[in-house]
Amino acid sequence: MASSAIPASIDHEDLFPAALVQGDNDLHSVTETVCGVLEAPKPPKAWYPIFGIAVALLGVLGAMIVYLVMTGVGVWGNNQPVAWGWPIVNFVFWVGIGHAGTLISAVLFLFRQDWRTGINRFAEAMTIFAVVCAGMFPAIHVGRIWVIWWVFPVPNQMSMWPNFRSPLLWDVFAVSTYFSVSLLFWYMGLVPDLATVRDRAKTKARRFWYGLFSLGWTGSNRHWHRYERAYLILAALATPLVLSVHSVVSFDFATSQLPGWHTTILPPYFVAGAIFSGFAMVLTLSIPARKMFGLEDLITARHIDNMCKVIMATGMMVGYAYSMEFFMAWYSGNSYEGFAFVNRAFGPYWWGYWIMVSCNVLSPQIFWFKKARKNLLLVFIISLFVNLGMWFERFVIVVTSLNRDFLPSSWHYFSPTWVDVLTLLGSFGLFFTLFMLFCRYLPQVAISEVKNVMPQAHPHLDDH
Amino acid sequence: MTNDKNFYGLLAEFEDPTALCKGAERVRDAGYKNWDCHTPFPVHGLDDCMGVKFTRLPWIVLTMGLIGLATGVWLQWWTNSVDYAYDISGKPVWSLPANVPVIFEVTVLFSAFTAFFAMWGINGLPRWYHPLFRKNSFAKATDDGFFLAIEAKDPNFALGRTGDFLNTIGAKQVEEVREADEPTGLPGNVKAKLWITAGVMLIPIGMVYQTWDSTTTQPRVHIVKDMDKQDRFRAQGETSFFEDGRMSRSQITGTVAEGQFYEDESFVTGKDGDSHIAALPASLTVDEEFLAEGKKNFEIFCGLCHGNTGAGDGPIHERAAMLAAQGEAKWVQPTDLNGVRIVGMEDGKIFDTITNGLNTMPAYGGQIPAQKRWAIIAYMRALQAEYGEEGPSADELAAMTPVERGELVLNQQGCMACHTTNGSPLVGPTFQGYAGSDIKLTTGETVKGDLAYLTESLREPLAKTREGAIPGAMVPFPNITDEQIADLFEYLSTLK
Repeated sequence: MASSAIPASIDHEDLFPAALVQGDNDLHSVTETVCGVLEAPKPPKAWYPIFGIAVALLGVLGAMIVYLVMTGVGVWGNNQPVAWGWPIVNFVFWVGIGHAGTLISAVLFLFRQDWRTGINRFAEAMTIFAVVCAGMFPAIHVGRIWVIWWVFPVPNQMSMWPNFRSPLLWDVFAVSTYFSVSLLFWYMGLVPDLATVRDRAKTKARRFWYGLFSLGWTGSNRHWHRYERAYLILAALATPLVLSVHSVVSFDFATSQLPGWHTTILPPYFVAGAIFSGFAMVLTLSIPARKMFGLEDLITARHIDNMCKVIMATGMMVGYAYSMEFFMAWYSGNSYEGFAFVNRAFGPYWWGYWIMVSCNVLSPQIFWFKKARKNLLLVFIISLFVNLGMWFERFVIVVTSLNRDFLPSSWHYFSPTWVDVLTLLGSFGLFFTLFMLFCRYLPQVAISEVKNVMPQAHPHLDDH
Repeated sequence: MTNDKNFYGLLAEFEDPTALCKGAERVRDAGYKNWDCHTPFPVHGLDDCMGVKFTRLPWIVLTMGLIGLATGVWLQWWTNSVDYAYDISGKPVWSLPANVPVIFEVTVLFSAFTAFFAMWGINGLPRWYHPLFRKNSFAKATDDGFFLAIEAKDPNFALGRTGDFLNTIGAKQVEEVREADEPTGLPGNVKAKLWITAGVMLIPIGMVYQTWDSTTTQPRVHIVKDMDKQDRFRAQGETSFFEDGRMSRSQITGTVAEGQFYEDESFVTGKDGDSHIAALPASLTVDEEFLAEGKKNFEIFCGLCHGNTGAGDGPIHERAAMLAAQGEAKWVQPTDLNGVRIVGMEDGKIFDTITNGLNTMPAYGGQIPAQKRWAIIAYMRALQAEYGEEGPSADELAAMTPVERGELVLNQQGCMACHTTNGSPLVGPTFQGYAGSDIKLTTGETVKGDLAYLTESLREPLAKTREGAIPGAMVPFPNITDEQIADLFEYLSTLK
């Protein structure tokens, strides 16, 4: 598409705004670019230190979990009245991040946003790894992890069943369903690309493993027909699912009669926050990854530009939610609700609240400027701010609401322990270990979907 | 049709999606049935060109989704309002709004799994072998190649004619595809290994099921034993926290604990100051009813060891003595309650013994109320009236030799429960050759078995412990007189 006749001074993207794939690419070169990453005998140099640090942190996580299980939940800072400390903060943080993937794959697919193809594989992988991190926290938070199966309706010798009217149980169903469906969706998208890798494989091991997981895909059009239909159905199912998951997570809070939690705005506010943090994490990962693995033509400046706009929009939504919470606390005339919110902004955790507001509401405002959206370093830094701010949002919601109990005598300033801190760091180790393995061994961009949106892909049958 | 059994069909490659679509229309119109296109991505419009019938997948998903919905409703209704209905804040056991989230999730779960697995199922995948994979050029089908394959089993297929036809509809290149001559399935040994692996993997599941489905007298296996073993101070435990090393603390002087104050102190201690009271407290009336209560409790608590007549021959003794005879246990016969020593013992001392235990006898103070303990003593006295021994009178004693008197002391005080006179040690050492022998102490010193040591052993047994003995196994005998000890020593001196 690109022509050498175009002067270098003219922005290629401005000239061809519709082009989803940049540079001098045809169908084969897309295959080459994406498969080249995982076929290279060695990963890029930067891969090793990142993977090494991630694995080391994963080891820390393992040690912390063993210590926790052998000792008890007392190793964390959780105590009355802040019985839900960092573990739940981290759970909501990770599960929120895990929303972008399915949103990009499913919701943008239904809205025919073709630009999603460059980043959906990435985002879906990130979703699955984030949900793995998220699911871990409530599981280890129960203390007696060996009876975690009590949360599932398994017939047992005690003739007991879980209480289906508890939001915590809704959470079990929502998060495990979301994980299962995301995994299916991700794997289904991978199959044709794994077949591509299989057909290019030079070694026996590659032929075997990629062959095994590509299920014998031949690219048959009769198969494609049902595949596309199934993909559409999955997208249609995943769209309400993705909205339901964070709503259900918010029910954990909203159904409790605690000032600061007991509000009806929580479900939409949580969903907006989830999309916000998820897109921030996609940016945090994709900006270095596209550079490291040479995927700039596929994950283009346009993708980043679009994601910045989504972040700005959802950032304003959470900003609206923050202010509406204050408005409702005042308008309701409920003095407990009023106290909870004044305490949130000016109480002992005032710093957490203002970190949250600065990172989530103020920092994305810079994306009004096109120059800012084009400056990758700036975008990367803002995405880190958003990640930080969204962690603090959950911290503020959980801790500030709990630490001022109804009885002033039980008021308690919550502080995390070193185990809390190392467990959170360790969860990043788990996330990045999985992510770096994904980058090395699986196609990072949905090859067949990218080809599908290239101009070469469309048959010209107009003369019929 | 062709006669070559291994002939699969013809594979034609086209230049681009446009050429493929145009070619596919011609193949469709020519009436072929067993044919397909292979492309690296779904080419839009190709379905129409090929005449692919719309898949029935959505209907399958809808059906399974409705089944999922019904399952979600049924699961919650049956478990929470039928099988295990429990009241939460008085709310109705079946309240649909609270069940909506789980119903929704189960519906989505069923639908999504169906969409995924049914799609692969209808597509006939996974199927890891395909004849087209035998063509090297076919590798491009997942890269940038656009292929059309007609199978030989199609009724319209004829090698030459179909080949020419493919060339006329715009195929870039046409290849013949043959099935492999050798079998294409998994080799027999790999198949066998997979079956064996699958079988072996069932073993742990079977073991779990077997455990689940059976009963056992063994305690549950607890992997993490924090409920079985807890860090805490136990009554008789050791600790470095307190100076005296004991976990239990003695009562602070001058304080009265709850339940510790009694109007009549001797009623619950059997003591008046430091000495034991001689008879039952005056507040008790010994009548038939009181003795009946004593009999009942004596037979419940005392008879098992001491025997229902108090002769020291209860069923536990019988059994233990049998095991001891086989060398499987060490056993000291329970005291004969009808012996001279007990007959002559103060009621208060007996009460003290029942309350706090003595030697191997445990304390019953916590199990038997004071009133009943006294009733037991009253009943014991009744038994003694029937079976009890009378000791010799003072005149008769005076007439006896010291050796005879010493033997009487030995028997009355129950020394033979732990010691012997025949040279074989029991719980304690034998008395044979005791007098004048060298006795090695735990401190390493050696003492003579003389009157002084015997007196000390009876008065303060912990002062000098014999090597190899259990400290504290020998109890003090404070009521024995110096004359009796002298007589006892005389008797022991005869045992050479």
